[in-house]
Parts: sequence; C-alpha cells; structure tokens
Amino acid sequence: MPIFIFGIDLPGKESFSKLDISSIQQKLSQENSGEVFVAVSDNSFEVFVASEKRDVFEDQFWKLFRREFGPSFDKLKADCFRLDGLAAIRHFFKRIIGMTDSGELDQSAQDIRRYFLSARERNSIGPLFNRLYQRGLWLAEKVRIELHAHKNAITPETVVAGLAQKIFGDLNEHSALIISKSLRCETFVQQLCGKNLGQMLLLDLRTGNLQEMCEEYRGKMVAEDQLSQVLASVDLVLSFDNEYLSPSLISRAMNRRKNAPLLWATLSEENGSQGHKPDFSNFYNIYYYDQADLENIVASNLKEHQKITGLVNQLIDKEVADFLNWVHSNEQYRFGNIIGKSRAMQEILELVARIAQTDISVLVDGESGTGKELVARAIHEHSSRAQKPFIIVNCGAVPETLLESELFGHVRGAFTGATSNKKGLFEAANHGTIFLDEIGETSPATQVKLLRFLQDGEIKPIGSNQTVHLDVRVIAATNRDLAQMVHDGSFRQDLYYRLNVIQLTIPPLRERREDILPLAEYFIRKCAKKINKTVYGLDGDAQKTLYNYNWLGNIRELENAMERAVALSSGNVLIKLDLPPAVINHHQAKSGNHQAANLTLKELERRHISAALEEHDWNYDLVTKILGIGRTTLWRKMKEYKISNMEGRKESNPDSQFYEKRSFSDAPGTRS
Amino acid sequence: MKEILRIFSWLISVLYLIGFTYYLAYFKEKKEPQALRIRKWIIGATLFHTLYLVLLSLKLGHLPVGDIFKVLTTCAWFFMAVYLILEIRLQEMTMGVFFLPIIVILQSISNLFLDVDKPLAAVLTDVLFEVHVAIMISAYAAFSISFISSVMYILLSREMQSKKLGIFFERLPSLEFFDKLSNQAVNIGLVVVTLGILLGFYMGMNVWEGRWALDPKLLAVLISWAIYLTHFVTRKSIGWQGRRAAIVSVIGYNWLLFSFLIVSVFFTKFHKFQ
Repeated sequence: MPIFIFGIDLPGKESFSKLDISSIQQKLSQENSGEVFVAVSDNSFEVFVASEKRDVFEDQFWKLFRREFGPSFDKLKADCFRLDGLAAIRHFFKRIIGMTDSGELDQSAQDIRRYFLSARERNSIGPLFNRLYQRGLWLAEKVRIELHAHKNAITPETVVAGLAQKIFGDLNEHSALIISKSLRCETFVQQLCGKNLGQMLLLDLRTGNLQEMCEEYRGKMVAEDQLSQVLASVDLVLSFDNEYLSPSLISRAMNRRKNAPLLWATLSEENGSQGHKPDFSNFYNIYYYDQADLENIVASNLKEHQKITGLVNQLIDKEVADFLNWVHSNEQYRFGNIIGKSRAMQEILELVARIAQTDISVLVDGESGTGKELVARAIHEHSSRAQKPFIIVNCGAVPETLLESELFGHVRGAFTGATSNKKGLFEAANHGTIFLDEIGETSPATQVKLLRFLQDGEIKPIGSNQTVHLDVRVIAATNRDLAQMVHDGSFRQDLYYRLNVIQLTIPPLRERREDILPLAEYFIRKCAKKINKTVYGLDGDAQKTLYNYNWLGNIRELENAMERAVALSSGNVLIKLDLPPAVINHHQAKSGNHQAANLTLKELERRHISAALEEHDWNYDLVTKILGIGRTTLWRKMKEYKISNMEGRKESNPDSQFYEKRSFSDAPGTRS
Repeated sequence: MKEILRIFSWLISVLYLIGFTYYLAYFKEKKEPQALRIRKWIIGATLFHTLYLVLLSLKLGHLPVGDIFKVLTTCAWFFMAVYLILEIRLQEMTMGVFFLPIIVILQSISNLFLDVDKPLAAVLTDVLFEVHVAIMISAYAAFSISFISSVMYILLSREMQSKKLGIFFERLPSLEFFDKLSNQAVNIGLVVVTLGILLGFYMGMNVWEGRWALDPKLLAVLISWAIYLTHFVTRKSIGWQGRRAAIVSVIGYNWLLFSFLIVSVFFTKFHKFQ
C-alpha cells in the first residue's frame, strides 16, 4: 500500500485551528479503505494516507474542505503540497521527531502524536502507520538522547532568548522593552514569553495590530514620554528602530540605572536603517548586539547544527530503508522478534520503543509463555547497548544458594568448593543488559544485593572486600504477582519499587485473540522450514478453532501446537484434524483442564474445582460428592483460590457470599 | 610515621590533581553519567585528606594550625569541604575546574615546606588561638568561593561582550548566578573575618602589650579587609555590581593570597611567634 501525504503549509497567514478535525477524520476513514489521519497546527494541516486509492481520498477531502472554507478554498488548494513514497515516509519521521524544515527540533512533535493517537482511537490506523509511529518514537528518543540536537539556537529569536537567560538566569523577575513599528517583533516576543519573561513593555506608537499583540501576550503599553524612566529600570531592550532613542535620552537613562546589567539588541527592520548605534562606552554591564552580531552567532551555530542534522538525516534514511524492507517482507506486525497486531501489544511495543534508549530498569510481567524474554531482548536490541552482552538468568532455575555466586561471583575460598575466583553474570553483562527471569523466586539475601546494585551500581563478589562498579541495565520478569508478594512480606518493597520503574504487563494470548493467527502462521513457517515440509497456512476451520481456543499456556502452547500440527499434517494446508486433540475438544473442557502440562498443582486444583462448580451449576452437594471432599474443604479451597460464582452474585469474596446471600443451610461447611 | 605522613600528603595532591582532570573533561563535554563518578572521587579524596589531618594532629599533639604550612593543608581541606557542600546544594559542577587548582597549589606548597618536628611557640597552645585560626580559615573559604565565581563571571561576561559565544557561554550558568553567589560569599566572609581580626587583636594585646601594630601580616590582613569592605559598600551605595564587583573581589583575593603566603613567610617576625 503506498503512503502519501498532502496538505497545506501557510505560516502565519491562515488559521486552521477552527477546523473540525474529528469529523473530517471520521468521514475520511469511514468511507474509504486504508489508513488515514489528519494533523493540524495553527498554520498548516496535513493528511497522512496509506491506501491504494489515493485519488478517492484526496477528492473527498477537498470536498469536505470546501464546505469548511467556502470561497477562499481555491486559493488554498493551489498551495497544496503532496509527498509520495520515500519522501512521505521521511516527512512522517521528521514530524514525529519534531524536526522542522530548517532542521530545528521543536514542540510540534507533541501535537502530531496527539492527533495520531486520537485517530487510532477511531480505528483508522492500521499496521503501516502503527509501525511508522513506533519506529518514529524510537528514533525521536535516540535523537534526543544521543545528539542533544534541541540545544542549538539557530534563529536570532532563540539567540536573544539564550543571551537573556545567560545574563539573568530565570527571566520571570525581569522585564523587556520592545520598540517596533511593525509586527516583526512578534516572534521575539513569543520566544521570550516562552521563557517566562516577567513583564513585556511595548512602546506605544499608536499602531492597531501592535496593541492587539500586546494584549495577547499580556504586555503593557508605554507612552513615549515615559521612555527615559522605563529605560532606567528595564533589563532587556529589543529595538527595531533606534530613532526614538536620542543619545541624550539614552545616556540620561543609563546614568540612572546604576549599571544594572542590560541586554540591548538592535534589529534592523527589513534592510532599513537601524538608526544610530547607541554609545555605551561610559557604562559597563551592558551587552549590546546588533543585527549583524546576532546573524554571526546564528551562522556559527548553524554550522554546528548542520553536523547534527546530517546525522539525524542519516538515521532517518536508515529507518526509511528498514521500513521498506519490513513492508516487502512477510513480517508485518513485528517489532524486533515480537509479533503483535493487537492494540494491547502495540501499546507495549510503543513503550518499548520509547524506553529502550534509557537506562531505567524495567519489570516485565505476564503469564508463563507470553514472551517476556522476547520483550526484554527487544529492549536490549533497541538500546545503545545492543552490541554489548545480553545475559539471561532464570532465578527460579538456579538453586537459591548458588544464585548469589552465580550473579555476583565469588573469590577463592569464599566457601567450600570455591577453589578459584569466579566472575559473576553481572560482571559478564557489564555495559550490557541482564535479564532476571522469575525474579520473585530470589531469596531475601539476593534481593538485598540486587537492591544495592540498583541503587549504587555496585556489586560485591561473595567473600570479597572490594566492591566492583558496573554499568548494567536490569530487566526483570515475573509471572507472579509481585505487589501481592510485597504485601505478604516475601519480596522486598524497596527492591520492588526500584525494579518497577517501568512496568510492562504482557496480556495473555486469550485477551488478544487478534494475535493468534499471525503468530500461528509465523510458527507454521518456522516449523515447516525446520523439518523441510511445505506448509502454507491454515484452512478456515482450523483458523476458527485456533481463534476460539483458550490458550492457557499462551504463546508457548501455541508454538508447540503448531509444531505438532506441522509434523503430523499430510497436506499443504493445515486442517482442523491436524491440531492437537486438546485444542479441538476445547468445547467440552471450557476451563481447559486438559492443558495441564505447564501448570502448578495448585493451579490445576483451582481450575478443576471451578470447572466442577460451573459444570454442576454451583450445586455444592453434588460437587463435594464428585470431588470426594468435605464441605469444609471445599469452602476452604474456594476461599484460598478466590473462586466465587461471578455470574450469580457480584461479590468476589466467598465469605460474604455464603453467609449473607445464601441461606445458612445451603452454605458448604455448615453441616460437616 | 613521618615518612607515611609525607607519602600521604603528596598522595592527596595527586588525588586532587586527578579530580581536576575529571572536572576538566566534564567541563569540555558535559555528560551527566560522569558527574556521579567525579563527585565520588572528590569525596573520597577529601575523606583521605581528613585521615591525613587526623594522623598529623596525633603526631603533632595539637591541631595542625601552628604555622603557615600546617594551616595551608588545613585550609585546603576546609575549602574542599565547603566547595563540596556548595556543589551539592547548587547542583552546579562547572566550578570545580577552577576551584581544584587552588586546592592542589595550597596542598603542594604545604607538602614542600611542612616540618613536622618544628616546635610550637608557647603562645600558640592556647585554645583561643585555634579558634582564631578556625575563624580566619572560614572567612578565607568564603572569599575563595567569591573569587572563583567572580573569575567565572568575568570570563563569561567577556565572552558575551566579544560577541563570539564559545565554551563558557555553553557550559556556565548565568551571570546572575555568579553575581549572587559572589556577593553572598563576600557578605559572609566579611562578617567572619571581622570577628577573627577582633579576636586576634584581643589575643595580641595580651601577648605583645601594645607593639602589635607593627606586624606586617596584621597590616596585610587589614588591607584585604578594607578591600572587601569596599566591595560591600560600593555595591550597596553606588551600585557597583556585576563586572566591577567581580574585579574588586578578584583584587581582594589576590592580595589575600599574597599576604597569606609571601608576607607570612618573608616579612613578618611577630606573627610567627619565635
């Protein structure tokens, strides 16, 4: 699907902010097939479209637009710009990063992100723009962190504001006097007010539109006869015309101000004369800049800036090439090795894109088999540490006593059997990332050491007196409820908060069924390649079965099911009968108690009890007989596993349910 | 013990010197991750210096304030502590690159000439004398802070007036920041040094019975006191601020260093109490 962008860019002439964007957006996306979103700022609007039928989109848009603008429409349409293919993709990235045409970074990125998200709320965004958006966020963070590109002042306005801040620090207790006949000063006022200027004073030259501007920025008009008095107390003078300031007036004012620091910028008004140059030779603490000085500074900053924008453009080009590769490959909905087209997954991947560049620790939680390790790997591979080691430790798989030495290392003689120095995995992961799976299984002693590392970046090998300073990013994962463990006291609260700076909760597969089929197809391709079989995909019936199945073992279960199906299949397309019996028969086993392979005993028991209860319509007498346990036991187990009849009653607490809602004799446990 | 102290004292100079190179690297390219490492290094160096002073006091049997070279290392230590507190409170690390050289120089001069075996004049065993020196050192610390921020003010202000914005413009905080810091430091230093001088007068009267007015060191200190008083008065009355105040502060500090080192060593007889 080709991507194209069209829009109008009219700086400072026409306001588009009155447009009813949401209705335009809605009409465009309802009546056409494709992805579309509209972004608007004060003086431009852009329509981003990914569709086969670009003409239809454009025609319809102009129709809507004509309705909004009426007669001035034709003139506007003539100024329209269109971008296709590569140029459009590049433009999109630049907008997401917030880079203007001159290469400056500004706040516009916030706006376009907002429009994008609201368009997605209305379901008019598909995989293409989602992908672009994700990569764009990642790129923006990279640019921000690595290149500091936002710091350079490359316009006279920003230079003046920067000078003012260098002299006065915080501007909110300082005032500026502006002498200008035209609105040329507005961009300066805007920039200064953006830096929290305390008070703006404007010389009253009886010009209507200046008065308007003055009100807009909450300034104050100053009459000409007050000028000397104002000059004596003001901190910043922006003069577009020095003819109102006679030398005697200036020297009188300067004498009165007792050498308080003053920034004076004289700006020529469209090549006109800038009047005389004030003579400040008798005064100090005055910083005088004229138009030429400011332009020199801008020019030298621009040189620096071009180096940076060159780098940014290189990054964008690389990202565009990657995007095209991705479009032509068969791996849509992918980020790193993660496949996910569901909204929940997209949001997680966006978060991953934004935090990957930073060093903050991340806690990934989700049921077993949801792909926590893949997420961690994706974070690592999209960070600046990508070339450095990525170490995986399964804290549940290593005996508790060994885990500490495994992670932090030990020195010779630290304990029986420690015959030599051994470096820990943390040291092996130096400058890289360590992924601590099953973090909930660690002992309190190890938790203390982890906490110390997260706080000070230091570890101490067992038996050693020396701390080692390391630079390792920590990503932890768990399938247990850590907040609950903190509550129970089995997990340290401080460590929990340290780890949980960013929490990524990966939803189970059954809560994002849109992902089942893309994943299944991916696994089929992968397995078919492995065992050298030609299998293309699934037939409709098989797709439906997969889609409706509960997948309690999540992606891991899906992968195993697909592996089995591919191995057993006789044709080129998988049919329902190739799938594992458990998947086919899931109607008989609503709660999936056949898929016990990856469950703990407790979980199995919980599922079995709730299944029995549901099957027999919460008839406790019958259920106790079937399960072969007494009523007290049933009641205790229900309480323990928090099983309750959600359909009949709202309460989730079995106690209240039994004693308040049910008759006393009906409650389990009262008779035995 | 004597040899250990000697090695320790030079080690301190080296530690501070390495700290200075860290600050220089930080100043050239501001990278936040470096900041924490630098601070840890400097805190470590200062703690080591503390240990050295404790050992030195044990060896001497009194606080290391008895003569000029002992005072110098104590000064260096105290300046460092004050600077660290300031750096942490203001969250501004660019000043270190200007401050550390002073520390290194003070410490190295002390190392060169320090004589542990030199006996202490009888007068100086008085507790009041130690109080006097402590007060004076505090005042000097305040003046040092004022000096550093004035130097930085002048550098930044010159760069801005030359209209070619370079590294100082990019790295340093605002002129206002330095102006305020310098003025506050002078205000505090002026109050403290006045107390110190008065205490010195009182002690001098007891010891010399009226002859103290001829002491060159005393004259030198009075002159620097007058310079800083000028700083205060001109600022309050005729509005000497910003650049001119900074210049006065720099002159005052230069005179202070001169009187501290040259006058103490070569001219004065009385103040050495020998």
